[in-house]
Amino acid sequence: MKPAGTDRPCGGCGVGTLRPTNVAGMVMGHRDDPRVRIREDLILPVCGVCGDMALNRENTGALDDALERSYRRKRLRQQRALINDLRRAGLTQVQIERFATLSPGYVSKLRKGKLASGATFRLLYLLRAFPREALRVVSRLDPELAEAGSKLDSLAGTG
Amino acid sequence: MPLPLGRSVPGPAVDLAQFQAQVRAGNFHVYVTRALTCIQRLRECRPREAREYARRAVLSLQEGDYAHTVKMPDGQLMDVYGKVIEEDGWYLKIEISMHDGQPGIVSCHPAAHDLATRSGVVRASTRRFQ
Repeated sequence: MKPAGTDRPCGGCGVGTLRPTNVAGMVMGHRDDPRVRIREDLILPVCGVCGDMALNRENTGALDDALERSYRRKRLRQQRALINDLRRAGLTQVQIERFATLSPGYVSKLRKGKLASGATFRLLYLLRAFPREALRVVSRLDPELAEAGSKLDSLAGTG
Repeated sequence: MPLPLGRSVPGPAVDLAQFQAQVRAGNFHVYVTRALTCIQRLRECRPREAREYARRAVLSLQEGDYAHTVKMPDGQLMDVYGKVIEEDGWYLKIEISMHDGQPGIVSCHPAAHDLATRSGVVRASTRRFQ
């Protein structure tokens, strides 16, 4: 056997050759995000014709680690921006936590670098996109959120 | 221009037991486009977990799951297997590289078409994976 990572015909297309290639800048799906860009130098065997890759255990681990770093960086930036937008819109930290059924102080942890679960992230995303509608609907389940919805309505009315 | 397809030839070309022994030892590669990415999308998981899923899928194969063998334009032979995994039909394609002898999992995804295997027909999956 030749060592892994040397040039090898591509089994994906049967035409090209897998050659060590720097995949920095490549966009791939990772966890619940379909578009994560690899932001560091990483050499993997890539086919010059179809772009497929054949990964051994080490390659897979290196790709996983690189994607995870990019994913965390992107997701942390996004969740901080979401929370800041919601706070600027007039929602308190407690109201955000009530909306997403998060424990007290959790939003603060998210701002400091804790990664939100996919479900929590999507709830916050929804709340920012449609704050009044989301609060109005969820306040049927949690009447204490009605006050937050009314506040946003009044802010919108004066704005 | 579309890439040329492999053509069916008599098989199997790969000794399944030997292949599985190599896979069990961790000595194999997995292709991204038709294996890791498909598994990741379906399971919203990371590449390491997708590789492990593909590994377990291949280790679950039996001789009766063999469907057919294809010959790629460069002469590489690949065996295709069909397997019901978690109540869904899956398509698996494996190779022993004629170039360096390394075992590879080329495809591991829900079956897009019915697959006639030695032990019966594996029905196509209705799940979207690409």
